[in-house]
Amino acid sequence: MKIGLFIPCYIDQLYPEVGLATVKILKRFGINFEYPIEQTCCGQPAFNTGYWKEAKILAEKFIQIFSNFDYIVSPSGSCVSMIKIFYPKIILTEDLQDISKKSLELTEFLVKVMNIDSTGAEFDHTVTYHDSCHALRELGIKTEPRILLRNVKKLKLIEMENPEDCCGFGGTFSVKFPEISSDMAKYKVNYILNSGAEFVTSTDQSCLMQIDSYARKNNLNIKTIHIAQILSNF
Amino acid sequence: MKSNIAKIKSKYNAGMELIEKFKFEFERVGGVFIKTSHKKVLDDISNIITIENVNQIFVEKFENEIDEVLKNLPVSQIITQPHSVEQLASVDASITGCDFLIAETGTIVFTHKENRFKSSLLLPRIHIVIADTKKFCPTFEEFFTKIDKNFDSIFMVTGPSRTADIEKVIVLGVHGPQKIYLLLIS
Amino acid sequence: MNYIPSKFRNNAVKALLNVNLRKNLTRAISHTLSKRVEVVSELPDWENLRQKAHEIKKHTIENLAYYLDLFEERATKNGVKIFRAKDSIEAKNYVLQIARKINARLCVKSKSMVTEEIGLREFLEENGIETVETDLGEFIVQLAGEMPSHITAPAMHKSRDEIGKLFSEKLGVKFTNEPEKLTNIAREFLRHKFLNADLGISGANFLIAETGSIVIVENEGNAGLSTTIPKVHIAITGIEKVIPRLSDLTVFFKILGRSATAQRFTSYVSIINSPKKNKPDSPEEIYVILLDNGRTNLLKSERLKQALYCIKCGACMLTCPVYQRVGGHTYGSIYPGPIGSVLTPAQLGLRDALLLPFASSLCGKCFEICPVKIEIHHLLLQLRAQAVDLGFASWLEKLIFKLWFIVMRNYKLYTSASKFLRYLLKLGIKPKVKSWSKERIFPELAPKSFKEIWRNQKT
Repeated sequence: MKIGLFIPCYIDQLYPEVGLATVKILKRFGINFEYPIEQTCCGQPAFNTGYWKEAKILAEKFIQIFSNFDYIVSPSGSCVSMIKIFYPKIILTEDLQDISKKSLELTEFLVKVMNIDSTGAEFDHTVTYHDSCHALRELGIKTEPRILLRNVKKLKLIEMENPEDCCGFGGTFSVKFPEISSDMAKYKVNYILNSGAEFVTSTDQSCLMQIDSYARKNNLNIKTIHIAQILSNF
Repeated sequence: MKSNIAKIKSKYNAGMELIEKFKFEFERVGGVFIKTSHKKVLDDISNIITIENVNQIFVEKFENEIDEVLKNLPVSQIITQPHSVEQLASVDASITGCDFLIAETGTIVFTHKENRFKSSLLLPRIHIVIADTKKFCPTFEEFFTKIDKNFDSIFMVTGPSRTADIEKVIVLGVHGPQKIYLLLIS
Repeated sequence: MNYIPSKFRNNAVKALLNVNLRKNLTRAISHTLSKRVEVVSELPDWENLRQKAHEIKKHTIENLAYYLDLFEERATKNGVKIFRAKDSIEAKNYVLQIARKINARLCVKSKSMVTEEIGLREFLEENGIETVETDLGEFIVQLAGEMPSHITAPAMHKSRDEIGKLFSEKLGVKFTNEPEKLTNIAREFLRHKFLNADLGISGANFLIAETGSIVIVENEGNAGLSTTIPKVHIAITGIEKVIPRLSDLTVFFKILGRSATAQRFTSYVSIINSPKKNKPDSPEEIYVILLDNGRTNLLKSERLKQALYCIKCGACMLTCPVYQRVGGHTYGSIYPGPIGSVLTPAQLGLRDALLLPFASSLCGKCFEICPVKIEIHHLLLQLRAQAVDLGFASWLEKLIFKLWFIVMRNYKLYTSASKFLRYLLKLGIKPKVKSWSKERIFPELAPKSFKEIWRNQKT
């Protein structure tokens, strides 16, 4: 079994530690993976803003780069849903080469494909989990990250009120409608604060970026951490 | 012989279940359910008339012995053949029959008839429906297979008229009846 | 008037700061949504029902011409007159023609979004026919001179105090803010209108092809009266409202009330087949106007035609985090919220409704709640693509995406750009996105990219 590791462009540029954490987890379980260096972006920002022609070219390139793997694994529910759910909207099915079936978000891959329910990590903190919209509603990921988190030693998982509410990021939405987007972040941040957890985590760093950006600007005591970073803390 | 009794018994039980289900749903939407009999029906309606302070009433033609019974209602005026909508709007209550009772939702179904006036189901403050046990139907699925599709119109009533348009507060009796009674003759 | 889709952002900023509005919205929405959970969870086969409803609608929309013809044939046989209106002008003129023929002076209207869509009430009033909304919520917004802010809860944005003030100003009654008393005032006022109306106008929730029936679902009894007392009844509805069989209603009965008002079943359902002569309380003539008004535009698109499955329950609005914050008026369209952002471009043209498909974080809650499983959030994406294809994007956005694309399609360029940005950063030049930064700190580049670290590790 050969795994292609996909590190989304914004993780590459802004949050390389999330990529490294993912690598650490894959290595721990002796998973045979490769990181194709020529990968860039799945095309989602263009797709979401309506630039489908550009997105399509990037998608085709992506498929070409990742066509030889049995699975494509990525620490981002959002980018995986681009491949799994949205590529079929811009590319003819025969050109897709099962790519959408083969793509999996990291926690989903660990639990469903590898049958792993614990990464052996330890994290002596209280944590609340934010369901990213794409992971939850496009990919149906709800239990996998929670199973893995519950099995992290010393970690206490606290559910916040409305974990399924959107953080307000939405890609270009956050730039086109900053006021609404920030107001959504405000509510999310309150749910997190009210949970009393020290950390908020998620499968998606983009949500965490939005939450962190709002919290820091408003001097709120919220610590964000990607789920891969918790799961790789061994 | 024994199995026959069992059959009758289970049929009876199923019938009772249907009535109970209807009663539960009907009461849940604010309807008042009263079990009665041919002998008791006049007393029961008279009671309602007193409680609700009804003076004028519209009574639908039932084309059976109930018509005779209802002639003795203790009200100042009984209208049976309205000539105008104003007349129906001026009464305090109406008494009508019905065609089906849908158990799953507590719904009373009225089909168009020569002697039925749709506005009598809506205009008065109080609506009293008299039904017998033959009217029960468990679900809409069954109802739609039962009815003749060449009807003129069907009106389904599930509880009193209601609104929640002001701050989601439920208020009964907006344009239709504030109270609906179902008298089941068994 | 500022309530046009192109003012969405300005309206949204104002709405976000309107404490009163937000309080009213939150109260109404949280109440309905929490009740909805209760009445939906009672049905173990909810997902199955959604699927069934989706399939019925899909089948009908795929064969829309056939079912519309069948409906027309059966309804005509029942004695109902059918008129197909291409647009709002045709529909309005047809109504006026009937109204003139019967010399109508007073028209009672029950709740109908399609009549809002074509501006029928205003049109009839301009032509000297008094037209009164009889649904309490609609009556309130009519008195206030506003549009409904939600398709099934039109006055949701108002508090009892505001309604009390409105009633005392417009109806000359003593101020009260008690919902019971206010409802009673409306009942008295409208009862008089019902009894004197010569024309009744309604919408339709469903049209049944096999029987030619008009189906109207409601709670107050005003639709029942509007379609019973006046001698002429006109039902105006969109062409997408037809469904094949009477028995299909069993599915919709279960999902509609639960989705629209969090009710197990609505108080009243009128299924009307034919007019009746010589009855004091039955219309002698019934007309059905089948309105297109941009709906066939949706039909042309293999993907967007899904929007025609909509049964106008308004659940997607209640669950939408954007709608929850800004309310229905902000959208400046008759149909607000997620599904409105698909329907409005079909009616007004995408150029005039350009902002709407973008006014979503694409969270997908609209799809999750939709009782007929319309992939609303995906349809919004489709419309965004149309907008870019038609060249509606700003030059700046186009330029940004052009540059971005050039960089992203070539990883060597991507690597160089990544190095260049870090070089700029060292010089103290940081990228700024003003709109982002008001309430949020703009994220910063990591000192080294993952690619760089990976390469270094390998060598």
